[in-house]
Amino acid sequence: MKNKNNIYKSLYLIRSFEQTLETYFSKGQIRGTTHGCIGQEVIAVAAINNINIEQDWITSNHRCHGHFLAITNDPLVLAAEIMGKNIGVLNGRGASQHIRLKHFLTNGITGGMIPIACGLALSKKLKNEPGIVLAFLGDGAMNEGYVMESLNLASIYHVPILFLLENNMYAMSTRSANVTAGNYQKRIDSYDIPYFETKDNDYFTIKKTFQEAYKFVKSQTKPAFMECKTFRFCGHSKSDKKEYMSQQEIQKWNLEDPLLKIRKDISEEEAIKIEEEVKTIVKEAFQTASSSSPPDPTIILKHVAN
Amino acid sequence: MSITYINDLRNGLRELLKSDKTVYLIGEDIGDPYGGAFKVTKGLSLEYPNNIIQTPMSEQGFTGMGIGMALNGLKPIVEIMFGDFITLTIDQIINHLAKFYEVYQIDISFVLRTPSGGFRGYGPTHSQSLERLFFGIPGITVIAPSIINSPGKMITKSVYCNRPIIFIENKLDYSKVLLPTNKLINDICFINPIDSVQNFPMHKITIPEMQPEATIITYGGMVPACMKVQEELLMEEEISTEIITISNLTDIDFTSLLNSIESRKVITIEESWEKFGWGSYITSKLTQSKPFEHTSNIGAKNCYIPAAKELEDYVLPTTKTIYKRILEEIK
Repeated sequence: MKNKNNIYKSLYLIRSFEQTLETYFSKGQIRGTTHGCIGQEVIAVAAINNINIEQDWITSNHRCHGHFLAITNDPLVLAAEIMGKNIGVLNGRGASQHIRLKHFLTNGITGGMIPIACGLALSKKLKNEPGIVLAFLGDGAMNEGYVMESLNLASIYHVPILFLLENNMYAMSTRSANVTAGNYQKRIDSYDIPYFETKDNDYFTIKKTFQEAYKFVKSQTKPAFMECKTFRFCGHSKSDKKEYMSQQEIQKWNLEDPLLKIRKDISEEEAIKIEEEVKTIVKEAFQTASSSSPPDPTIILKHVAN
Repeated sequence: MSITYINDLRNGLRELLKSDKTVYLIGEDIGDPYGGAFKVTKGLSLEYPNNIIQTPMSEQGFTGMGIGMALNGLKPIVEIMFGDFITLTIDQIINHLAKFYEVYQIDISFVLRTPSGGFRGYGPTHSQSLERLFFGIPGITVIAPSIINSPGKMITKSVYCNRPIIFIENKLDYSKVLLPTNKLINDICFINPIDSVQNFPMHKITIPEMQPEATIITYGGMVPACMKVQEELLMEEEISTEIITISNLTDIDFTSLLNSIESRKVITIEESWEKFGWGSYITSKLTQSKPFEHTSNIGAKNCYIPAAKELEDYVLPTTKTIYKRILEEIK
């Protein structure tokens, strides 16, 4: 039971963070843009809870807040980064989608981290280092040329990488099924990469399958690919009103909110306690970030080439 | 002892592989027996098989793979078979590599080397000098040796300067013999390094005891052509010129450059298109610091690089066209 409480707390932290962020954006209190992961939190937490955070590298994409929070549990440095504050992870250089913390790297180009993740995995193999690379990607990235090149490279060089596809079925506003030939499993099979799948956006199903896939990669020093069907309850980015989704579809997935599923296994009293606690942490993180200092512009001169 | 550009470069790569097990060569067809499209890596895969990674034709993918290796402390040298194909790597270089270095503040040893240039009848997609695409991109340094630098030494420096390097070779240079410095060449000129420039040198090619009437600034594969023009101008017109060659194309030490110019006329020469070219940036920066009597920029005509010899020679800056232009401009 204690374990479920902790899982719910991690999931709720991400949800609460993204919701608070949406509020700040809607009030015009933050510049720039953001890509929320409401509805997809279970994948981040189930995966990150089951890797070796000291040894493994994790690459992510524009929709990276969930991954970051699952790793760090630290909403303050992320909120500060998004707000462009000096205490942010990168002193405000990168904001929402350009984050680096030790072995965790994200970037804003769809699919662009995937070749790099393969290189990281190859380097681990060449250096005889323990651990693997966990590479998150979305369904939009599956039609990028270099992602397909990378699947081939990972397979021919036998590198320890686990591709984790968070398939929320929409590449921004485009329904991926309408623009994707065949299906992902057939593609992955053709590269001789083992394919794992979860369909229900459920923490425990994802955890179980993830552990199998992870174990395969680690023990075989070979790539594996895992597809998690999921749903994004929020827009693609801050201004997206989801006009391209049907109400039926939204309602169907809302009924299957993965956070509610876990919440049902916790007493109402405990759930409320967790929620209140997390809300306070997030609220304070945003307030502290908001009132903290902006970076000194001269930091830009550090570590530049020309 | 004389050595060709390609052998010097290969020796540099071999020395790197020998002395540093974290150096990896990555690219298409670079293994033996083929040894690379221009044979730069010939023999190396037999000597260091574990450090040569022969790839499929996936330039975006294996460039990114090299970047990933570099992030974890390895030192990849990625070969792109023809300079024209760097278009395929640009997203990985500009949106990833450069950002990891500058935004994520990561020291990274990553070298992408590629042969540039035309004059071989390869036609529009195998003859361009596309290094220009990286000029002015923050976080990217473009290095180009010539026959008066040791490409072997320069590739070694590139590997150890811990930042993203695009390393531009020239196809015509591979078979040429490297020229010595501080020694009279062809009874005509001396080549001297410009001392104040760090790391990636500038050189000056001067005709002794004559005041230069013009200063030619160039790089890479255009250096031999410019030296030929220098010789012909002296022999046929008794015009003395000086040539300054630059090997770090993007981080130029303008103070040293200005101080070493001894004439009042500056002409830049590059193989790529003159329009929006490297040379126009150089003369623009120079004239912002000091007035010159004359500046001009010579490069390819503003069209694709055609295949037939007569057409290619019409478009690219040949010794003949450079000679004619310089003569017109300084007379």
